[in-house]
Amino acid sequence: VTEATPSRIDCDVNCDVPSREALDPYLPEHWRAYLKETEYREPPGISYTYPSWSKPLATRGVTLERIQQDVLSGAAAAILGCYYGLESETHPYLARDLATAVNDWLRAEWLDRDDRLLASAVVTPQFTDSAVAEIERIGSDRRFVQVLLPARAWDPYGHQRYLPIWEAAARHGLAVAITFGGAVGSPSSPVGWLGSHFEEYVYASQVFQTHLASLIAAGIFDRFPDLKVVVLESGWTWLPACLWRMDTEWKAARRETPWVKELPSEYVRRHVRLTVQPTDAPASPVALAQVIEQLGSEELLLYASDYPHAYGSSPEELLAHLGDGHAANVLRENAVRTYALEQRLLALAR
Amino acid sequence: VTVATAQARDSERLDAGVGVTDCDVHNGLKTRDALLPYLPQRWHRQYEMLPGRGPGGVAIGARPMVGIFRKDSKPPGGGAPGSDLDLLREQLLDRFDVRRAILSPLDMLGWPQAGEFAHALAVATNDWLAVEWLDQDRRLYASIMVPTDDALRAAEEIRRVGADSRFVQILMTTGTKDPMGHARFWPIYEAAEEVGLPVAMHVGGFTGTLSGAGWVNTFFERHVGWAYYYPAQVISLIAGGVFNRFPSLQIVMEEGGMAWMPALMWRFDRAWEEMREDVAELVERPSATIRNHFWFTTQPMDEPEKPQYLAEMLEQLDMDGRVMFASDYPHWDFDPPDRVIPKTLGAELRRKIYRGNAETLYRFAER
Repeated sequence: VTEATPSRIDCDVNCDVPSREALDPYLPEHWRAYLKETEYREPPGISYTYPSWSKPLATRGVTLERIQQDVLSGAAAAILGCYYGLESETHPYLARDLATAVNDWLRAEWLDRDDRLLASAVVTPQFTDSAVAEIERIGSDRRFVQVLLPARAWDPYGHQRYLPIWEAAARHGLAVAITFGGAVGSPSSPVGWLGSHFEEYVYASQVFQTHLASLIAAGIFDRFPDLKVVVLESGWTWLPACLWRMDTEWKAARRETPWVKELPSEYVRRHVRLTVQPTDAPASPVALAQVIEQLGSEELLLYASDYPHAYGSSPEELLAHLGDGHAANVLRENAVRTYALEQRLLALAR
Repeated sequence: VTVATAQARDSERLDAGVGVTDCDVHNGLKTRDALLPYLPQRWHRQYEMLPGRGPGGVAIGARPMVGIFRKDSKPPGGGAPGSDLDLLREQLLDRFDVRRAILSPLDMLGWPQAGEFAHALAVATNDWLAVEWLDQDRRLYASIMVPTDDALRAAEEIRRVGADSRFVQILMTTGTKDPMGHARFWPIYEAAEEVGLPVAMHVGGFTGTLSGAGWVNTFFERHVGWAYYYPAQVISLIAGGVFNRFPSLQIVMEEGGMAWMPALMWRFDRAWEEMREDVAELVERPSATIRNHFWFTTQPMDEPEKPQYLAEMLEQLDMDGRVMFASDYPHWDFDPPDRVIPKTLGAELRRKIYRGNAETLYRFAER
């Protein structure tokens, strides 16, 4: 699919902080000196999530010029995510100040330099007060469209401890993106630590299902009727089976959560969006068509390149399997609605 | 409705003459003391101390809505649901023309899964199964109960009981303290190959956090999450190289559903194509390994939003020969044999699910 004037919105483009020193201008003097003396490189979550040896996942050396050339040449706008492993930094005040530094670095080095760029704001999910303060700080900058949370978490995101984060995001009209990876001290599966990055990668889609069930049971979508949650770079073909199971279980267990008024699948279809790269697609086009239909809505998928991650297939292959109307939704309209982009772009133009 | 009419009606709903093999039936101890005759005296004090001692971890958040049993499954003469053979015959075997039922007593799944006492409990449970159940009704078969998190002792018990042809599989709990691909479980697989029995995994055992995101709040989340154990075990068994080492090993996934599997295979295969250099053990396409080594039992039968999605899911799964009926009697979410496998799947597939596939795996004809 090529367009004369690109209209597509790329909802998942990764960039990386090239070195700890790059954050120096945005950090308090004390941390600058401390991090230098202790030869601090970065929070451990970064290499745990995107190991530098991984051919598909390594996320190093992304520059504005590369993104302009490889992404923005074909897209009207792109949403930058800079996963920085803050959930794996145990020092509450260092983690807080690193979050602020990364967001200020994103503004100065990226958003200020190309007005087609939007961004996800990083926060410290494990330190709720700091996360809320950071959302308050960046919330009026319309170029931040969402808050970025890693999938791996100490508790599922419906837990009460996170409620202030949801409140703050909703207050500022921000979506919340849950992205692949993250490093926390609790095991990667219900049966303990899996044996390799590969195993955790394959298992990752289950982690999102824990969060979706948690958000529904906690009534997050009842509290915040306009909220959108975006699943980043973790596939979407797992969703239909997940919806069937949640609907069945909810029918049996609903008395436990009387505030949950609708089937889980209805909440998901109204509030949850998923990016299309990578797609864990069946080899058979018939099976792929079945799963697309089983989604039950053409509003769920968001176009994304997941740049610079290099998988075996491109999102264009999926687009070829969508009807014209569905493809147009995926390429642009679903993102425009999810992020209220028209209002944002108007506000930015003023 | 008389019992005879009800039976006639139920049998008619099944394909005539098929009969059913029910792969997941939970019998139980009538009273706690019922195990004592099979447990050496020196363990009796430990057995008294059992309440509150489980497989490790603690089942916080396990808060079923209505108890875990069908209300009508409590025997009129007293005792726990599933503990009365006559009632089991009436409510399951006779009523639904169940010709073969594989018993997996639940008691053991919540008991300690490691150590000498856990081993003694497994031995006692298996002896009790043989005498009080298998000797009483030829339609009954059983799982070998083992201390799941203690592979050397489990292997000893597998070799002790494996010669009794009425024991048709080995039962591990889905809840393990390490994923099942870990080498510390290999003695179980080695013994399973030696006695020629499949290994089944069933909800139970160690309770930990759910799927990499900590502890959940509600029973809804935990019950949805019981399905998260299976993909973790599948991934670990394959990436751990278990089938390279034990090429004839067969694994049965009980009570985990199966609708999640197609998407897992698509992801697993893609990751294999793109990232397999991370794991030396990955020698073949994971979906091929899955289709050669894994089986499913049906309860809880996945309930897609539209009926045709069930057929689509099974087609995507492409494992028609490896799906086996289970009722999960006497649990509250019991799947009655006459209603669960829809006729729209066709007579041949229904016959395989109700009986044929279990014949193939468990080789009842030779037993």
